[in-house]
Amino acid sequence: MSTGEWQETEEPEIGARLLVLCREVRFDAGWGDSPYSLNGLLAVFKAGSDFPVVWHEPVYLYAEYFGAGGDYEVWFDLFRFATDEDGEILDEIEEAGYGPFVLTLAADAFVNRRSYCLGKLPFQAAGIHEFRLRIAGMYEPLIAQRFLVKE
Amino acid sequence: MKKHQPTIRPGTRSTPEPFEILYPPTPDGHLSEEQKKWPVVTESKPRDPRPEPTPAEQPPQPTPPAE
Repeated sequence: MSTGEWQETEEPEIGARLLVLCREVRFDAGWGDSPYSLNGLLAVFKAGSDFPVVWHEPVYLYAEYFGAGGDYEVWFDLFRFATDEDGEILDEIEEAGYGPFVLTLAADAFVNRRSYCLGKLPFQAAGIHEFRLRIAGMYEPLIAQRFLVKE
Repeated sequence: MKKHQPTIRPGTRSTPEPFEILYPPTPDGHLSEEQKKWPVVTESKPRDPRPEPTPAEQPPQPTPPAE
């Protein structure tokens, strides 16, 4: 019988504590429990002056997940922030969505590390952009990372 | 966004983690038809800013004794 009370929908118990953009992810089992190396950390993309453009170089995203074991669908949504002359954010525009990526989360691991390679990033204009890591079925992203696209 | 930190239950073991680079299922599928018409831009790798190594100064060679 319904009590008429609003009940919160139970969300998957998954989180992410790290999302890094870089030019290369390397894996070396010889490093034991720390096999990942990130090269060329990306914060700024120099895309030229003739917008719009499609960035055609590989961009690696490195993420660390934690939480309850199970299978999840991961999406990376690319947003651009429209700003005024003073840099105040006026709007956010979703430019692209990458996925789905299947994530099998191991319950008995401290963190689960994954690497993604995205190419062909559409840049409508210069300015602040953001990748949001989202799980299918969840509205709020687990984590987000901003970067600057400049001429 | 979740703010809490990862935890692990005592007594559990970490499993070996697989390594693979994951690519989008459809390489162009995330671009709209309009975006697919946009010009492509690439960035060449930045040049190594370090200066060319200069040859180390050679110590003076001992002159062979004259016969």
